[in-house]
Amino acid sequence: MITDSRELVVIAVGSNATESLNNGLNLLGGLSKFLSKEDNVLILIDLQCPFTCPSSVNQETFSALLGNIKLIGVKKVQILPGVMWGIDQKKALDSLGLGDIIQNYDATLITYEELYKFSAPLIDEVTKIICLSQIRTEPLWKLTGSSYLMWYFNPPNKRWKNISNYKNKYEDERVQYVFEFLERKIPTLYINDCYFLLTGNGPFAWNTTKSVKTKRIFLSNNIMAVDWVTYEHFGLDPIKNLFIRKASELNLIDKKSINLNSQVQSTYPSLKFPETEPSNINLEGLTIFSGELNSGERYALLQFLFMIKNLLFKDSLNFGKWAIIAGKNPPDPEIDCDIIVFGDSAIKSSKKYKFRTITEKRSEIINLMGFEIGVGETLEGDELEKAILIQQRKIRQKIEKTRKKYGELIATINNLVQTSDEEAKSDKEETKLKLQMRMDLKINKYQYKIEKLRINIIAKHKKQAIKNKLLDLDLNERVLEIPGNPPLGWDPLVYLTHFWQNKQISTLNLFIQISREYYTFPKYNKSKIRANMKSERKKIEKRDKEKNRQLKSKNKSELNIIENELKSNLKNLELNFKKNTKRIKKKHIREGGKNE
Amino acid sequence: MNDDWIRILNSAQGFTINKKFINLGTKIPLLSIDIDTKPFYFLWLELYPLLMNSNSNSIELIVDDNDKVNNCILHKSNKDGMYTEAIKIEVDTLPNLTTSLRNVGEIYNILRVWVKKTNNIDIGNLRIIPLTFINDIVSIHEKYVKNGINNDFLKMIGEYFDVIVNNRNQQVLLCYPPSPLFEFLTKFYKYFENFSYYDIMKAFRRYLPKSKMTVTFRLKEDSAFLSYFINITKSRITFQYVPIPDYIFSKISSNKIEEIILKFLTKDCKTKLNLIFQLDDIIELIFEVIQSQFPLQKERFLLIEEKFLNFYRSIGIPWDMDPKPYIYNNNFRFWIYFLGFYINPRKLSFWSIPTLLQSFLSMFFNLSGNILLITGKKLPNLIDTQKIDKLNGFNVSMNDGMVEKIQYINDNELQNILSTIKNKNLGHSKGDINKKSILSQIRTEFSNEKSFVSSIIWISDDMISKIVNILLIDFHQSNRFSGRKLVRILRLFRKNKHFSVFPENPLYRRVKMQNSLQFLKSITPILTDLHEF
Repeated sequence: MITDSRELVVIAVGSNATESLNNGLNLLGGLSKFLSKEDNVLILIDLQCPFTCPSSVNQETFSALLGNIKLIGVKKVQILPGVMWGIDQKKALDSLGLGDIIQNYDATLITYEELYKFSAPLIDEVTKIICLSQIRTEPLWKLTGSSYLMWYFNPPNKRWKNISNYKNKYEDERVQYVFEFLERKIPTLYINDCYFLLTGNGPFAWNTTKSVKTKRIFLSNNIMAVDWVTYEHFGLDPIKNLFIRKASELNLIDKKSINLNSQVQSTYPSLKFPETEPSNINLEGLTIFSGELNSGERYALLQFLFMIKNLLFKDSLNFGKWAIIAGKNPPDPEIDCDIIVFGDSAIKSSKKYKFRTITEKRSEIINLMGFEIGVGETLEGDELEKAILIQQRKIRQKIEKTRKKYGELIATINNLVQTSDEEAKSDKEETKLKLQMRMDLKINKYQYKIEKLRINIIAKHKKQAIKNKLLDLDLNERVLEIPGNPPLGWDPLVYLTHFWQNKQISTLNLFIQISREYYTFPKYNKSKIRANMKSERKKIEKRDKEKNRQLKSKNKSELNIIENELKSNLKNLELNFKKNTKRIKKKHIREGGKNE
Repeated sequence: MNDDWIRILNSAQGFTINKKFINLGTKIPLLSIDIDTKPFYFLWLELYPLLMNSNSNSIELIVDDNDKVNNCILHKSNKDGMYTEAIKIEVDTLPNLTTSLRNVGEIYNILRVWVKKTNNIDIGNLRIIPLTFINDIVSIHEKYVKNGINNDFLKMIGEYFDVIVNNRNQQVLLCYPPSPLFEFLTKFYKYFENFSYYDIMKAFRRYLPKSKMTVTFRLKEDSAFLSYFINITKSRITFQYVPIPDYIFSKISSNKIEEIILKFLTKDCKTKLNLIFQLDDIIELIFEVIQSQFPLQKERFLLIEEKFLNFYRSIGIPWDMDPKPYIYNNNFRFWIYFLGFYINPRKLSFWSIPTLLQSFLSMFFNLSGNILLITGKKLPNLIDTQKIDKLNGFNVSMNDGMVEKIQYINDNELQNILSTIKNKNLGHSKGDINKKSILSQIRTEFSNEKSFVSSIIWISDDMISKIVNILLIDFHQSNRFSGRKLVRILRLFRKNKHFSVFPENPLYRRVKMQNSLQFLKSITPILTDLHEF
């Protein structure tokens, strides 16, 4: 009998997940081909708690697999839930109802601590490994598969260690880990479960995803072959899988080396893959400013954006404008809004950015019962003239009113019935003159006020312009820093809850309340944050002081000049006003004498 | 043709000629509910498109089991589309219908030309009705309506629907153009299978709370209102027609008319819940539902939910009530806001609630897979040797948060599973008693015996009744504080005897563990659009 040396991959279908798995195992030659009674079996499962199937393992496939293993009667079956950063393995297992299934099949849960216990690591006792991966679309890997899940053999705290210390790139670290693991232990069976397949933006963005029932399960004892076939089946170039790319470069896999036994004839119609460009993720009022993002940062940022896209779906309407800054050397957003600085590299490189401080402390104009107090924005030229005219408009209206009022009075006197009585005639003329004089005096007074207002406004703006030369910076408190290199898991969410008010982010708050049960959120140290802000503020003040020291003396002399100029102008104006008042009075007295 | 129908036709004919109604009392055909001919006229005009597509002249062929035409009636309508005359056509005079009756489109075209030629009438509808269908409908009507009193309105409707679906499935009850309602009932039945509308109505009836209310529909014409005093008791639902006196229409402006009618009904019927609906808005909503394709897509489902919520929040436009509960009082709500409760039905976030609800449920419940739903009086206790109360089970197959299939699990099957569990537990020694919850054991046994279920949910009959009562009646009563009612609902979810879920997902655990008032406080800003005062 000629045996095929190529790697066998099977694609099985069924009316339910149990049937699909059983068909697949039969096509592979039965599970007993891989396991024996003496074996100590470890099963790695995908657990994206609290998200249920198809984000996490399909309970039915898992149950069917355990049922098949139980039939063989292996010595020991242990389950390792592959969880993301911060998730408690046991609680996650129970909340998804898997603890009960494990118990039903006499299997046991094994945690990362037990698996890699320093004194006696249980991984050494394991004789067979099965990887049961739930397939879903993913931004960087396009599709999760066995090679994606293998990284979850690594405990969460060790996964990001090298990446955080800039020793390794995110994708290289993942691929390297899988190769290293395969050098130590080679799993016996890989199951890529696509019975239900999650498409769209992945488990974190559960309202932009869609579960597709493909009814297919892929099985093989070769990790590269099973992922190669899975990728190809869903219309993807297998080289897009970073692990396969490396394996292909090392000539460990090619298409010819795969023997495919499929129950389905055609490949699956195209899937909807996740968004890979952070700036394309839209949320009400949000602008994303990203600098140079390395793959780890990009991955974490995308996960964060997917999460907030759901959790702030409604709440983002309560923020107004807001921005997220991420990556190395991001653009400096010159906008007046809430700013989230995501990750250590963005925090470091934006330390001296303009948005960190409120650069201009403008004294606002306060309108109190119709009186405008303060200067507002410093103006020059036409804009200043316009502002002056606006402020003068009330006095001008008064002039018009006065003219109208006295004009009407004089006209009424003129229209009185003509009389031959000389005394009455002179009385009439006298009254007219008196009215004319009063009108002129009032207008003169108003014109004096108009000019005075003009001089004062010009002086105010000149003074403000000089004062503005002095740096009067303050810390921008509308900036939130989310530390981490990159920030992992759901840790960033807790920072958001302290940044915005409770009622603004009610959905996020509810999610955090619920997930505290199985996720360890970082402690938010308010006093430490306040102390940091205080020291930042002091630094800014110190910087201001140093820069202002030189400017102050120069400004002082300029201010004195303006002050003196103002005083003399006002004095001249007053003199003119008095002169004009005298002139008007004289003129009318003279005219009165003539008439007499 | 019965007297009621003749009266309706005569009245419509009179209105067509004189442009004035002689308001006669009659009954709605097949429902035996009192009505005046004027509101019936406008009710017909609005409901007919739902039943038969478009208001127009129609022809009806009544056929026997051998597809032989026994009777033919031409319904002549006026300009509005209301029937004014029924003309009996001699079957012998009909053109030769050589084609099969299933080719309803072809038959319609033949008859359309023939009717135009012989009677000079353009027909817009054709109905082919089997004689057996008419007999079935008549016997159902006789079964429920005795001495002019309808004994169980909802069950009767359920049976009507079942007969319609049966005849549609056998392709003997045919309409051209297709009837939107009949099409929907058939599609719905074909998709979910193995259920009867009668059972649905029966279950719905069981959970309806005792209440007295008035329901008024505003019809298209300004002065056409249709009011009923509805009394729901344990044994039956009665509809009492309340004519609106003419003086109400003569005194006031049209925008205040609804308010006055509600006040009149409150006083006249002494009811604490008086509702008024714009019938065309309701029909629009019904059309949204019945025009959906199956399997229903998630996006479509969310859109329908949004439309219903928007309808509910727009109180004062498509619907209104009197007296209004405290929560609609601005002063009262200010203090509620002050205490941190963002409850405002007018600001219900209709656009976000369906998406958020779907997201949270998809996240925490296994919404791709099977869920077993069990209902009954009491959660079975495995230690008791007494007979367990009757249970109903539904194996709900879901994908992407949408129901794909519902399989009914009858009491016997569930009792068998429970007795298997009991027997297994008896085998255990005292120290080795199965400590797993009853739901966990049912899940395991059901998965082994029938099909795998990822979640199992228990809801008591009592809880369903209470929720229906609170949401439909209590929440809208003026003398009650609505927030307290919502807390009562949350409290029901905390009691295992009413509601239980396995596996206990984090959302359910949160509801169970947190103080209901606090929980309500945390979810109300999610349900309400802010920017209140």
